[in-house]
Amino acid sequence: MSDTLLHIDTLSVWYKVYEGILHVLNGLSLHVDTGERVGLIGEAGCGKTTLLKTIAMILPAPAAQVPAGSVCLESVDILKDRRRGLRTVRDNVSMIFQDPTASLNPTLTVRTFMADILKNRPQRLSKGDKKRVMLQALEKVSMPSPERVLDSYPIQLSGGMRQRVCIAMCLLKDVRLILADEPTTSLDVTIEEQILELLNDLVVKGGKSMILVSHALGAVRKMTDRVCVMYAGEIIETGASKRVFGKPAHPYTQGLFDATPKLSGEGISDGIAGELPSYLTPPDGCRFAPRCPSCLPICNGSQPSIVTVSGAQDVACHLYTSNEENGE
Amino acid sequence: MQSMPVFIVKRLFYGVIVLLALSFVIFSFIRLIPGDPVRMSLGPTVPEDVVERMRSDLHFDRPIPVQYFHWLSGVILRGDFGQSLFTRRSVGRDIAEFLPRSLELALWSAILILIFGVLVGTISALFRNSWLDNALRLLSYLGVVTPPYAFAILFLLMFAFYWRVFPLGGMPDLPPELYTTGMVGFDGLIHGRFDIFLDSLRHLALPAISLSLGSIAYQARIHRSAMIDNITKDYIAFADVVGVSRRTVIGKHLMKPSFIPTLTIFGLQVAALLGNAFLIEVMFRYPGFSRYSLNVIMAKDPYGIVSVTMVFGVIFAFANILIDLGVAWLDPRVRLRTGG
Amino acid sequence: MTSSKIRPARPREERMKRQWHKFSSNPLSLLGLLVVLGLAFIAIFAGNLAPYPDHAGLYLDFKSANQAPSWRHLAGTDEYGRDILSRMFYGLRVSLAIGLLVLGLGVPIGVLLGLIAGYYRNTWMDTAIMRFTDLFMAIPPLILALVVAAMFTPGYFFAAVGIATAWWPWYTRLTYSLVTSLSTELYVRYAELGGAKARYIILKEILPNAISPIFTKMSLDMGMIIIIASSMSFVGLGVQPPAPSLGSMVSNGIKYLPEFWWIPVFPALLVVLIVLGFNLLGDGLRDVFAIEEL
Repeated sequence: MSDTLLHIDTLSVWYKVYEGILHVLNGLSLHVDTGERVGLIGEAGCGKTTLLKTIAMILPAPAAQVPAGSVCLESVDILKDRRRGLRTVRDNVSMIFQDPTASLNPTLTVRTFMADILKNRPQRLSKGDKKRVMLQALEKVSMPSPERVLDSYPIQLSGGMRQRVCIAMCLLKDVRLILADEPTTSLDVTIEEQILELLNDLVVKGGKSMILVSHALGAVRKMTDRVCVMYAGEIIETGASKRVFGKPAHPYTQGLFDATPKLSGEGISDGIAGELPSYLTPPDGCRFAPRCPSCLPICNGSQPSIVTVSGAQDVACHLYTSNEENGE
Repeated sequence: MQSMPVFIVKRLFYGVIVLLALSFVIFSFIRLIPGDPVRMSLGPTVPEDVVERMRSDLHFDRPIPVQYFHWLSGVILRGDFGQSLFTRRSVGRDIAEFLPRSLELALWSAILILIFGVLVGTISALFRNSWLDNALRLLSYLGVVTPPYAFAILFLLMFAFYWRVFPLGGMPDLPPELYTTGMVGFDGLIHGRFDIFLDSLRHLALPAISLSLGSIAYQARIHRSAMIDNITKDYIAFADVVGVSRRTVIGKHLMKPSFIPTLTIFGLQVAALLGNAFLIEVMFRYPGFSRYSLNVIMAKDPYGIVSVTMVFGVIFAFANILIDLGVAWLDPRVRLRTGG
Repeated sequence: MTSSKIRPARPREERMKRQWHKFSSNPLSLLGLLVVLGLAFIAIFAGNLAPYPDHAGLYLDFKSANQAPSWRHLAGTDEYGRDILSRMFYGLRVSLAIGLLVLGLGVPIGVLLGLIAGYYRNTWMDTAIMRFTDLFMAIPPLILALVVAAMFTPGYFFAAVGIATAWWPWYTRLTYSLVTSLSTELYVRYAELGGAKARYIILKEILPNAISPIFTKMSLDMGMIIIIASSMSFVGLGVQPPAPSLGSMVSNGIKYLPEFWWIPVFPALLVVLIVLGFNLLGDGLRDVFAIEEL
């Protein structure tokens, strides 16, 4: 049984805005084991980026508040002890952002940026060593003409190359967990597969863990061991990827997969009517209730608790809680 | 970047053309205004034939383009800026005497503006919304709306009259054997005369501070907002995540892009500096080029005015080119777009 | 996706109400507006408000000269015994008048040239106009203003002309950039509708959208213009004595430092107040119209 690398327990994250407080993450729990690849899917605005940013400790400082919950990385609660947490996170976690162009400082060369990363590492490296390490990192991400890239500015590189550079930078530290926030969403479809495969390769070969957020559901299905489905700041379904993708339990997940075009030509559904609830005044009961085709009266009143369905699949839905109570 | 030298040459070339055109326009403008500057300068009692002779010496009887051509060729070939009707000396000599002192004042002011503007702006941005930030912002706002001569009055009252820390004005002359650039403090320094250097600072302090305070405030505001805009950018968060030390993130990753708008605005500050120097030099009785220019302008001295305008134009153009180079150095996107 | 620079043609009333609401939610902007209105009021009714209106002209009363601020003379008296507060009111009138004059001369010319350059974009006319503006921006504005103003008989009209000469290029540049950035989007839109004439687009669509940035810039500029104007009267190129102007009051008063400090200090403070008011107002306008170019 591999040990738990990351354990998040009933995490709530709020944003203070002009109009009030956005209750984005709502008592969310999640865990990642060593070497495990976890997928995180959900529609835009459901809080995936907020979750990742909380783990990476880069939440916008004054606006974001964490009123409840714990995030334990390597048995260190990073929320309780910020200083120790920060060190633990920086040593063990790297993150790839959605837009590689925005991730790279336009006024710095790749070499300068990488040198800054290496400067902060405990090992003392000579200049020659540093260059070797940088080139190695670039080669690991299959970068053509790495020497030229090293001395280039981001504006001289293509989108795909920029994302590779970002991945290479994440590799400069020997991290145990990689957070990938829609790493291919702003790239060409043709490059998408390459980048995802590259990422998967590096994670598996390096024995690392990964949380992959992506809209490319096919890729998530292939590349992850487990998948969590997020809606409006909560994880509503989680389980082994094959399981969840094969037989989605939650009505939202079902709707999500129905809306995805498949090669088997079943056509796509009309999507899920409605939109995300307001985070300012979130509904008391299940946050999906207003849009749910199978909504029960109980759904508007109380939050569904997480229930295990058929072995390795957990769902937060009243449809299943009632089943369990009835002894099924 | 192979485009850089091309960039500079193109700018220089264009700058020269603009200045030539401007000098011609101004020269013509002056000569076209009715009035007889020669007679005004010599006074009513001088006999007419003397005035006639002076007029022809100065080529005032020829058509305007010819006059201009004579002046221009004199400048280019001999460094001869013509005769000033005001000081009755060669304008070139006047410029050589007064310009270095004003340059000294302007350089110190520019240094103050750049250093303190960035410093205050950075502190303000890093301690955003704290009491320190709010106090600095308030002071900056007051600094922006106060004309330099108001500051000059304030400082004269406080530091020259009540607390006699600084002198009331003026500037000591350099002993002639030390004359290298004409800048009192600088020449004193390179000749090892620390006392002269310190004395020059004492005389420069109040004028330079009065000149620069308003601009410091303006720079601080721009720099502060640039840093605040950039601190939320993805590339800062990414640098944090990927392991760059906080000190480097703020000191390099944040500062460098924030400098771009700051430096761009600096050009305006230079223009303001050159303009406001007029009043400051008058108020502090500083024997500088601006004060000389003012007198020459008020006296409607043709060669004086056109030469003086050219000098300002050249300084201004030079400063702008330096600034553009600085921005291009900071921001590779600019570099790689020009020349293409 | 339509650009956010082009405001949809909603009924004007509704739009203006929203803008006023946004403007008035910022206390500083309101303060600016209040100050400007107050100053304008004083300037217009200076004759009625000034305690000693005839002190603004030729007036000598050496018995009351150089008196410190008191209840009879709230700002003291100057070396000729004239009440400084009254002269400040008239000086205020002059300052505002010069500001309006400069903008009245420079803005129309600048905007017109900018419109023409934008309309004939990428032709020789465009290049010619923009190069022409470069000419006038080659030396710092105060210097150009001094050179121009010094050539004529001293007076506040020519001082304004001088400053206007240095000021119009900024409006040409602003208008030109507005025209070019707005027109590219509009041409695309109108191309679908079957090609409207460029002139129509410029006048009916671009100009109304350009008015807010231009207007905001005018307010922000007032402060600087007034400082420059006071600098010019400082050196004697503004209103001629004995008529009061804030700049000349300051420059004359400097030699009376520090004993009779009130002679230069109060006029200087008034200049600060004027600039403060216009800057706050201009900042408020800029926030309301959400203009990045300024």
